[in-house]
Amino acid sequence: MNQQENLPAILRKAQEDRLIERLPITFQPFLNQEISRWDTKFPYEQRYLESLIGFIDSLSPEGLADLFAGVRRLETSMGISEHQFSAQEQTMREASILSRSPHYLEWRQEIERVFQQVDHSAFAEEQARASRLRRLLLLIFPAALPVDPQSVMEQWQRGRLLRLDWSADDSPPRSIVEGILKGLPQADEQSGPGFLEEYVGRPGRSFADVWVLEPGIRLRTLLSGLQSAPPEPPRATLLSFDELKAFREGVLDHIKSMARDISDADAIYAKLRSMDVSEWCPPEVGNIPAVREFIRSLFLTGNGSPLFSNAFVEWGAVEAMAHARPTVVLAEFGLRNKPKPFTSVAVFENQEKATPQAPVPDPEGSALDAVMLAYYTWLGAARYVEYQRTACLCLFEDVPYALVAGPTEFPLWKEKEPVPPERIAAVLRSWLA
Amino acid sequence: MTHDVGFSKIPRMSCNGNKSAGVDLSKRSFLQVISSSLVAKLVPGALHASPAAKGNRPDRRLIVVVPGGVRRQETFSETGKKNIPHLYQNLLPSSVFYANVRNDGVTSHFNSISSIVTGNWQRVDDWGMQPPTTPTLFEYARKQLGLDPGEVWLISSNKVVTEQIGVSSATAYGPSYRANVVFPKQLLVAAVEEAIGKGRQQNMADRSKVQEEIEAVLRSSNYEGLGWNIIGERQSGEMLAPVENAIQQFVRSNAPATGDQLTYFVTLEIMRKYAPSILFVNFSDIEAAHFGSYSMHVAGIRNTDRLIYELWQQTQLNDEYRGNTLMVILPEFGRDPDGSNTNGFLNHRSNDDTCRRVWIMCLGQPLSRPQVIDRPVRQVDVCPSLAVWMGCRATESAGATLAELRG
Repeated sequence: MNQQENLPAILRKAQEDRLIERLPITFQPFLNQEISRWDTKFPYEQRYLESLIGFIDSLSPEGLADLFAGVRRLETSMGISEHQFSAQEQTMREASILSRSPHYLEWRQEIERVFQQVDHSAFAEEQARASRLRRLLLLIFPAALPVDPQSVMEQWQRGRLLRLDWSADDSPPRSIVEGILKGLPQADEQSGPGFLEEYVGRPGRSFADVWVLEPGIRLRTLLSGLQSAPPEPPRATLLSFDELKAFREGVLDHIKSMARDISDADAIYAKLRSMDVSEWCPPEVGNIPAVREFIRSLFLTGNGSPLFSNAFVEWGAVEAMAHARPTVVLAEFGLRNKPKPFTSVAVFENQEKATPQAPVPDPEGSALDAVMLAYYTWLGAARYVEYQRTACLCLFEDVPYALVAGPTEFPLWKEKEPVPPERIAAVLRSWLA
Repeated sequence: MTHDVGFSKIPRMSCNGNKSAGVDLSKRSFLQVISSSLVAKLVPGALHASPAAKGNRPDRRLIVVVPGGVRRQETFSETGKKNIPHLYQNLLPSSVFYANVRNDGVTSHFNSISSIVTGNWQRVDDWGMQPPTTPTLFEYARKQLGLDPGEVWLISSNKVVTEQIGVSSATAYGPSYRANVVFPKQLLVAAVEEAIGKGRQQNMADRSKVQEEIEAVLRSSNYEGLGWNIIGERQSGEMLAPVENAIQQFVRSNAPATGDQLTYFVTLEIMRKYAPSILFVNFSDIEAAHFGSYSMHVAGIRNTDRLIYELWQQTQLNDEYRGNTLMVILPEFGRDPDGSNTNGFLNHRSNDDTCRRVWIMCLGQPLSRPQVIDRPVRQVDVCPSLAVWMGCRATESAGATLAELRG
């Protein structure tokens, strides 16, 4: 099917009206890029794009001129017309030209003002609706990470440390995570479905509502009810650093080949943006175009996501909230190895293959990374009005504690200690009800 | 929460640059000096090389150390001072410390360093493909003071810095007055990549073979692909032995095997061989932050703190530098604030104080008394101030001169 035919009426009309061509040049590549990738957008992004384009297209010629007058004035001051700006795709070369301009900060403020005005006029109702939803951010520090819950609380400044009623000699033995995420053991001694597995089965849920990000496959194995078999639609977005190894290495191989030159960098990024990556994708990523493109974009924006599992988990969760506004984000941090002597300077080389030296785990360094990045994940949620009713729970597997943060209406703020895992599960189930 | 350090509580000490004050040598650095000397004895010619034949050679030496981007909260703050024990406890009390310094330019590596060395906010290609548009401190000093080529060096770990940093496109100056530019870490990276590419990964687990790999790249490349620009080196090959000394120390010592450690050893060798009048050192272990590891970023800060301290100690042991050296330490910029949409400490793109507000520490003689200066200054004030200190003028700089550095 022609991609044009997939577009909603509002976007088709904007194309017929040649709307984008009438906008300032620094706006054009962003919007053209977004429209051309309509099919691979999450539902939230599609709603936002429709509102944005629909609002701009509804403006009178005077209204349109008013909205963008500041941007046009700055583009003139920045001498943008002297450069060949692509209208179709944002490039590093153009970003670099903008950021070097003495007017860059002013331009950025003006762009922000335009978006604020559009959001206020076109998206306020949707944001108000979404901000009433209760959401959940569940962050797990596994037993391998020596994290002191008190230090996490000091960093977050606001939260409650909750002592858990936990005994390791349960029979059959279960971890704290299993005790919270799974139901009680059943006759066959297997744990029953947990509250998240029940949640994704409710009517109206989409794969973009629940995200699980982890270094390995522990959570997806534990929460088998989040997985589905085609042709059944996916129930959740499941991302594993280990499972994406081929994708990561494929991207890094291209980045390694880059010459120290911005046009070469743009050429390589353009290739990575357009190439068929299906061979690199595990099924849970390759089968969902929006998730596949999310991962491509995640690795291209870097922030350590192709290199370190904790950076992948944090940046993935933050980007998921930015692009898909999920209701539930479940993120587990993990253990990385120490940088190897000498070879670690070649950052993009595969350190497993760079030297026969055995890897040495770095629990302390990984814990420090995880503490900071868990905090960033929480701060990432706090940026959006839709997350103002987000309850946050950090689980420390090494010690039987949890950190509670979020709105005061979240019942765990007032729960009497010690709290059994089943009680936490019940509270979370009811929070998402 | 970040708290600025209460500088007034810091006990004042006499300046370390004063010979009579003595040098607080740690056992580690002492052993390192001894080991360097032994290495030097074993390598023919290493200690026999003397500073370049003197043309016009100023009495003063200048060392500028720029260690990437660090935030206040990880350095000069209540929460951060544990990461910089040497800067905070050993060096701050004897320094002139500017606590309120702004980078008002483009907070990318090449532009920030270009702005520091030229005294103008540079807005050139972030990837280092264009030279600064106004003269550098290196060019002012070489032209106005008639310095020989061996008198001015820039040594950088950061791969984003290119040889274009050594000379501007200003027509009255240019290549005749350029600085020597070397990138020790690139040598190491090239050696690792070469070994992996040629299937010799096993060599990377054996220190003697690591040394052979690095030396092979050094000798075979003739500096091609490494971006180095050493004036007259292709004819003389003078730098091979000092760099090989540095490689040997790097590989054989127990110091961390990071790019900055190699940069440090190469710096020491250049100091021994040429005793340059102006030495600009750029460290970048701190920039591990870009890869999302906070612990590696903090380890980079601690490593840099140690290397700066050891470098300062070396100036006190070297006759060419003791008592006549001004050492200036300033970060390129901070980093983005926690919770920013640019992902906090990983990047340096925001327009916040966290990213733009930095500090400058000045050590040595002759300086005015140790003090903390709270008045706002700008990074572009550094070049004209250092030019005046060296006895020349940064005529095209927009920066002001800092009175405390007039000496």
